[in-house]
Amino acid sequence: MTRIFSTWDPWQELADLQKQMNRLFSSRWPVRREAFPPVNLRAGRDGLVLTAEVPGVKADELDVTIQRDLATIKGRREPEPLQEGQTYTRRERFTEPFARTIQLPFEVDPQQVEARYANGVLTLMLSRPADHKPTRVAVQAG
Amino acid sequence: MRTESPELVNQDYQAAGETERTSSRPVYRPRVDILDTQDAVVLLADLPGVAEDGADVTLEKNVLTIRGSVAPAEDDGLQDVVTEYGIGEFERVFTLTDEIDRSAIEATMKDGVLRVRLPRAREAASRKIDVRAG
Repeated sequence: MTRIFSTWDPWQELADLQKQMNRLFSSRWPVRREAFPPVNLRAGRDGLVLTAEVPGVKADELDVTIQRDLATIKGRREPEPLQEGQTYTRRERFTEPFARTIQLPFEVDPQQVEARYANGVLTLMLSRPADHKPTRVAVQAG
Repeated sequence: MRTESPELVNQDYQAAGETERTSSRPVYRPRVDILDTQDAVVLLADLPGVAEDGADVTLEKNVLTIRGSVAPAEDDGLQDVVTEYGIGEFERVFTLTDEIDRSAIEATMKDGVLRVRLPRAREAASRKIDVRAG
């Protein structure tokens, strides 16, 4: 042991504090992430709900593929067609074609996917394959 | 040829902590595009999750405020695995540096995008046309 004051390390404390601050800011601060589209993923015993913010993308311009435990969302948003004499004075909205693959916490059944699009949000309801669902095993008294 | 460029100037004072809050929901600043033409300014704002009747546009003196509210998710007993975006309110404030015809402002909401058309006041528009003709 070369460190004498091993019980209290101010640098470690500082690093911990910084980590906590980062966590605080990343969860509460209203900064939008750069990856497009941003997704939320929620899981239950029998399945997953994946939502993605894709405002202004028409439902038929979204391409969703599910393969084992990967979900891919592709699409594009057409920029506003400029009229005669029209110019952008501010341009922050995403207009590039996008593709994003999200790692799911478990495999899902690609035959049992329900996709909905409303108010610029894509919702995918994904189910765990029937034979992958955890089953309760009765334990016999010996 | 463009001469003056009357445009919307965005104010940066609407940092999250300074917006007026009516609830403890987080307030997000939406991304916007602003398109400028001779007779109108068009503002497009991404408000994903906001229903067609959930957006609100107000113009008070020369301060334009856009707001949108996203309905909270139902409690379905699922666990959060990935959370890249928050659910709450959208709000952003702009200062108009140009005369706007208040009676002719149009706002529409579709697929999570708010579109606000702010026609320039006729006086301002004609003044601009004069400059172009010269």
